[in-house]
Amino acid sequence: MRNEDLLIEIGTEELPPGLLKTLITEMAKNLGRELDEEGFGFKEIKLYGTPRRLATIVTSVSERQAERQIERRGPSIEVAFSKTGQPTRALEGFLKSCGIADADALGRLKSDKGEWVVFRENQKGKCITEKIQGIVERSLTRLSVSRPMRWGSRREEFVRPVHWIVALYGREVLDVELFGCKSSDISYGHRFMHPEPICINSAEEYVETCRAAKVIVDSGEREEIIKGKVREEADKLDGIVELEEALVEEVSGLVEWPEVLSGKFEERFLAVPKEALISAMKKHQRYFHLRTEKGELMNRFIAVTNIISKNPAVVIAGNERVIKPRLTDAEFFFSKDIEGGLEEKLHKLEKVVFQSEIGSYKEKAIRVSDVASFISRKAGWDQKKAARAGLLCKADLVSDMVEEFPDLQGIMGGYYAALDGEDNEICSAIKCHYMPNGAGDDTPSAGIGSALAIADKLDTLVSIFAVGGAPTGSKDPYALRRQALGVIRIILANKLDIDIKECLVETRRAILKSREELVRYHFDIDEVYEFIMERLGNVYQDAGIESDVVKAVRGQQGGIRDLSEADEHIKVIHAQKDSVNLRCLVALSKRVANILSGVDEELLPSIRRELYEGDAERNLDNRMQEAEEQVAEAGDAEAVLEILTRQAPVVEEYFEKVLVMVEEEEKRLNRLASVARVKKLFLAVADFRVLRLS
Amino acid sequence: MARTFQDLVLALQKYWSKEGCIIMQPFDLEMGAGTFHPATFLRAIGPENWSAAYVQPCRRPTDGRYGENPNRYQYYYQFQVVMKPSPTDLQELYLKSLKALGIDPLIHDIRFVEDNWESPSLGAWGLGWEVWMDGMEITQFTYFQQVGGQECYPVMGEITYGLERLALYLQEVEDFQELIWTETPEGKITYADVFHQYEVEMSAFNFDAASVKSLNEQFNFCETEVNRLLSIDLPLPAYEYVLKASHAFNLLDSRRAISVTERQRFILRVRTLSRAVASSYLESRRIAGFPLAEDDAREYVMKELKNAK
Repeated sequence: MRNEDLLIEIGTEELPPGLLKTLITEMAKNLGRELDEEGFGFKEIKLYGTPRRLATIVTSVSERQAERQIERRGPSIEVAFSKTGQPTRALEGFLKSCGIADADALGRLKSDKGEWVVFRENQKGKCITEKIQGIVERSLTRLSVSRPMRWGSRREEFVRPVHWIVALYGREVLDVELFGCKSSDISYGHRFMHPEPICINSAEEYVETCRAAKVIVDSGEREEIIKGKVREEADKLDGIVELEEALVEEVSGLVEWPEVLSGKFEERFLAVPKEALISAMKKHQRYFHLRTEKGELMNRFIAVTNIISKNPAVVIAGNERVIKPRLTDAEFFFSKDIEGGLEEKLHKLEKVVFQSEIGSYKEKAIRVSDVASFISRKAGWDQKKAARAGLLCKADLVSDMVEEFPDLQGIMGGYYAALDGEDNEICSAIKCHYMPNGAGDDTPSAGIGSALAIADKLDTLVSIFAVGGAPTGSKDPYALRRQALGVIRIILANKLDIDIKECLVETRRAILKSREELVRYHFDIDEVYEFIMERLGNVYQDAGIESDVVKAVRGQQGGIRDLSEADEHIKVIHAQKDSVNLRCLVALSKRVANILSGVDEELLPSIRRELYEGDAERNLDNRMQEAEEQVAEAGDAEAVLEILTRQAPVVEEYFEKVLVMVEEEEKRLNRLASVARVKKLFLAVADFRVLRLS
Repeated sequence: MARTFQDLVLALQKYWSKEGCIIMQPFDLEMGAGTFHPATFLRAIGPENWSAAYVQPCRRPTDGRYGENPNRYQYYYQFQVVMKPSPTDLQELYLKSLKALGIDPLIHDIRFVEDNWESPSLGAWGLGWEVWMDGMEITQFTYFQQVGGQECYPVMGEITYGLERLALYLQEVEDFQELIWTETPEGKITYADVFHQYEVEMSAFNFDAASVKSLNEQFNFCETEVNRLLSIDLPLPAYEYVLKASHAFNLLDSRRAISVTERQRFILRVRTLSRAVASSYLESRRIAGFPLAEDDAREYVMKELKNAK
């Protein structure tokens, strides 16, 4: 059979750079799936895309679908035949629709719901030319675009207006018509450097034909070119450049032909906090910034452009002209902000709403201050400093700088606190209290900074949950999932020894204290606790630890309170999951639970030794006592697990020799109490029963 | 090459007139953007064709900087182009307009950078770009999807040039103040000659002198008027009161007389008004039989409206 490479290119107006990679990948994935479902074999899928096109090449696509059997279900037997066994009108209609006359040619299909006639036919595979329209159409309409658009007088929607479609099978044009565009072998080059149409002869020549027309269609290649050129330019300027992936990707999504140039700004702007300068360069202009070998920011920037300019000096001058007012603004705001100290800003915070039902940021700051101080006391850090940092941490929200550069919240507060002469520890706590910002970001290190960061997040979680802001499905307007993950990550990264439940209770107390009318809300900290614990799954999933291990430790007596300790348990259990010892613990835990099922352990009497009847009972007692003492003194989770597994033989012996469910009530209860003691010992670490062993 | 501010306006008017836009004049009420001009806001509603271009002075009271910021003014000009249905080659038409101004796209780095537009107070949104020239935003380019809560069909394409910023490039100066407005036999007239004192005084007015009390009253009065005028089927006069209400709100905002939560409520009030006007205007055009619409579009929208009832 004939096999040829298939090329589909959709020419569009400029696509959103943030979406480009998803669109490229999804289009390829959809095309592959559609071809597959339609029964066209192929070898490999290659993906391409620029701001003005999405393209997929599928190699060695078979010309025809594989032959396949189709099955059409007709009426049920009762409906198809009369009582005398004659074909009914219904059956005749079905036969006609199948294009046959003889009812004997039909098969039967039986299930527990009844019996039907079926028509089975081997269908000869259709040619790609016949199927391509549906394949492309479905692939495109199934791209996940949250906000598609319409244009002109068309009713169809797509991510941006479509201008051309290339559909090639080998060197042959396949007929596709979508969005009012008929497919052809004609594409277009760079918007300015090669506006003329270009003819694509085959998929094989696609990349090079486009390159000749000043379009690099491979986004990976564009990113490499950008990195290479930016580095080269940085070297020329004796600067060090950080090639942040997200920025490279975004910039690559804005150009078809990357070129690089560098500009400078006046040195005086370097007096402005560097984060503000970097933000102005990166967020607003998508520039790369440079540092000296000593790590100081340089008054230079590197811009990626989409043109080999006839006069690059003009483009450089233009870019320098844009950055200047932005930096002037930053400088102006900074000088204005430092006229009054943070204290002064604090009273303005009263007017800034954190959440309309919960209150202002001023109130939030007071609560965060309270809770941060509580956490610091528990952790043995400076409580007074934590309280001070909490009080000031939101004040920069009313600064002009943060209004202009919202991503500098916290960071600017740190600067302003330092200028006010606040203690260093306080300044850095304020600076890092929003961290971690997203998955890749660092967490604040141990000390009042992490207390502040945790307190702030818990306050948001508890208060927003109470007013019905909990995430539903994909909607999480307050980014509460991120907040919960943040709390976990801070605790784990610093191995903090704090009780999360206790912190939640304290948070609720602080909230209720902050405003009288809040008593009418139900601050359900158990719900928030569960929400945080559910996030644990995500944390460990990334570390390759299966969910049953997390679930087992979450099932420990009273639930996890000390996340750092739980973390150790999770890791140890994960490491030893398939060991003989652990299997044994799982089996024993199940057995213990079975015996105790239906028994209210709270109501069991305390163990009375005088009721023991044999060595097995006495042995268990001795060993349990020993184990309880050892566990209390054990240095780490590994040691604890080792102690638990060591108890297996004696527990097994107990079950072998002692009948628990004896008639005599006093003895039975005493024995149940002994079993409950074993359960308690195990359960203090984890509910081993939920472990799935392979 | 458009060497003066005046030439820039004239060149754009000439270009878009040639491309089939009727050249209109600024609307004589205060507004925050050219989009508020009835030639955009109202004409975006319903199935009727419409292509127009005009200059519109825009007032953004909070942007006042007493004339001291090089490119931020509380009163500035937009050049607005709307075409409905948006032609297939709208981007090309726009780029040709830059060439008509003397901008060579093989020298400058011109790009369409995603920037979706949304106006909460107009109940409107669209998708499109800001156009960058050498890193500076010189134009906003939008395909309206919804206006006044009504689906836009056919879609109106909107191009909004920031005239002063564009002029900075064409005249190669750094500050609005230095822009040459025009050259007369008596000499050069600069932007500062025309507007500096106005910026200073208006900034003072916006931030300190505007009467909060009477602005609040005005807002309330306008709101009542819109509803009254709509109740007697006068959507066009009603729309003028939406504009007045919106400007009163902007001034209250620059006087910092509105708290964050109140702000949200004010926006919602204006949106409710503009939605009511939009639907009343659509109904008035329906009764008139959508005279400027293509047959297909008219039929489609008529049918949709019937189904909705």
